[in-house]
Amino acid sequence: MRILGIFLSVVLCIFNISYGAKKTITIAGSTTVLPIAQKCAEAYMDVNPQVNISIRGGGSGVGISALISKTVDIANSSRPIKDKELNTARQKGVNPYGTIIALDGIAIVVNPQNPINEISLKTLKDIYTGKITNWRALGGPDQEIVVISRDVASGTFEVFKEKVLGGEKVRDDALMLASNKAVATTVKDTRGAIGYIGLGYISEDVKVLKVDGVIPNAETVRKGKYKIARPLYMYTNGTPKGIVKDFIDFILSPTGQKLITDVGFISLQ
Amino acid sequence: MHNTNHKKIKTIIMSLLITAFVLNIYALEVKLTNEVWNRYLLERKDGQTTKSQISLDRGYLTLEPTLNDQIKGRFTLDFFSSDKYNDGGGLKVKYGYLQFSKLLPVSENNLEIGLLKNYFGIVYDWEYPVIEKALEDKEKVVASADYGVAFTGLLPQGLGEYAFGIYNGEGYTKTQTKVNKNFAYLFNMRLIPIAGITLGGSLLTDRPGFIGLVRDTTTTTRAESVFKNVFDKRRAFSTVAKFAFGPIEVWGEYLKSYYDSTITKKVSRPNIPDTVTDISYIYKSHGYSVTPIISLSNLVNFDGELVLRFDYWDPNRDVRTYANFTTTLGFNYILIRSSSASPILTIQANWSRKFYKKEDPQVTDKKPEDQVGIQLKWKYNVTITN
Repeated sequence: MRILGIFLSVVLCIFNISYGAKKTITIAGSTTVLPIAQKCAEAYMDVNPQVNISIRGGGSGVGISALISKTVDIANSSRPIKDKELNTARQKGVNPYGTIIALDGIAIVVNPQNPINEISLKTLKDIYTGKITNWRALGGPDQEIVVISRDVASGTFEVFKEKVLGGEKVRDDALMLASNKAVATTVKDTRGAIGYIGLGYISEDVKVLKVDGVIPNAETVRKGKYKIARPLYMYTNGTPKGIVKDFIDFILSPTGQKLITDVGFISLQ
Repeated sequence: MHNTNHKKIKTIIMSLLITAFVLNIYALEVKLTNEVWNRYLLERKDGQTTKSQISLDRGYLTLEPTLNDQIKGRFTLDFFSSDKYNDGGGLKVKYGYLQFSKLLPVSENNLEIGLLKNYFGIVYDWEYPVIEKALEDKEKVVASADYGVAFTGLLPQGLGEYAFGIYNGEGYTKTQTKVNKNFAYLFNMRLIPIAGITLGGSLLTDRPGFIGLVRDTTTTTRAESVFKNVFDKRRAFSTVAKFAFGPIEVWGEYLKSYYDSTITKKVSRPNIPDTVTDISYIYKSHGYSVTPIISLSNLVNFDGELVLRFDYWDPNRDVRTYANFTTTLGFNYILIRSSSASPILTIQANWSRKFYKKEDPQVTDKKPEDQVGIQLKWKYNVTITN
């Protein structure tokens, strides 16, 4: 009993020390959501200087793991939480609550010098599974296709695998890169490359292909015409509270949604 | 003897490496994990030091190839300090199974075949907040892994998990002649009615099984040959409760086991009729283990944990000779975490005292035993994509 008494005293002391902790929000996860979180955090901290927001990427899986480990306040994710993650979280006393903050289309991008302008979902699958290996098969130049994909911690990869590949394996020689930015840069620098990135990473350095005749933009994604689309989430432990709620409310506000559009993603309204 | 064992070990290693190599060629990706425990242990009893040594208590090397979207494999070899062999090292094959997923169109479900986890009590997800094993593993009620087939799954909406298993029943260290002819059956269920509260239970039942007439080399002499028949009947039951609120997490388990082992001893001597004797051992054991853990990271900005563990174990309720309590006070300091917050390097410090129940005159001479353990636990993984 004496040991238990000492233990409880230590616990009470710790609670006393920690009371009134500083206002910090820590965020980790999806590299797709990263520019949204960064842009909104900058704007939020401008009007709330007492709040410090720390953001890092890593991928959706990394963010959700960090939320389960209670080392972050918000997990950014470009896919819904998985059953296994939800089960582990609830056992750990974490109740993941997802807030959809924006919409996104996964844009299929090629090097700007590539004459191809559109592609079908089936052809895309054939390229990524290794059935088509040369642009000539699509009416393009006689050039090997360099397949660029995202790594397995990526929510974008999960969505692409589900919506395009139907769960099939990406071809063995595909380059698996850790971020949207790395994919965009590699496609820009590699003539025969094809890759996929979130809309926020589109620039003049890459060419966006129509998929089944549809270009990804706000209208086609919202209306469900563009098939490789998904919502973007911020997961919190339970419904957002305190400054975390204030920050997410800011993202959902007209000001925050405008910032989402500014960084190239699709606002909810 | 040692040479024979070494040859067997080398054969096992070579077979596994070849299998792993072949599987990896076809794998979509391979996750390579290495987990090592470097431990110092000091044990004292009755004012005397009974142990003071540094050892390697775990050296897991794990390969997890993903063959396709629905099939994964896992091979785990454990290299550890051991005095059984001349070179001071031991090797165990800890896991070796294939996992087939998404067999049913419901929440995540998997079929595992091979040498796999024993989904009993808390042994399959015990995260070692203290150096000691989970109670059922520590008291050898069940082994942490066994040969068999298990169907595991998750309830929708994160409401819990379940497992059905058919195992050899004797644990991963027992093979060949040490395995009886009947399987053990496992049922495990955990419910999470609200986040932070997990309630569940497991039942493992092993019917009496004839192992075979085994020559007992330890007691066979020139004058007589001794053979043994073993019938084991075993039943183990566990009730589990886990609570996790804010920085506090509590693991609790009540464990009950019944073990009936009948050994038929047949002694053959030249020119004399054989003698046959049955010896029966019945153990009715029970106990509990409660482990509160306080995470310090969100309280004092220090990435550590304070842990307390209480164990009670009565190995045989009918005899009441060795019922004992163990109290452990532990501290974990996580020096390095991965980007997904998994601990990469942790220092664990434990002090524990084991003392025996005094109600039985036979146990008054049992002096408390103290143990101090300091452990460096490090784990890392890389995923190689083909």
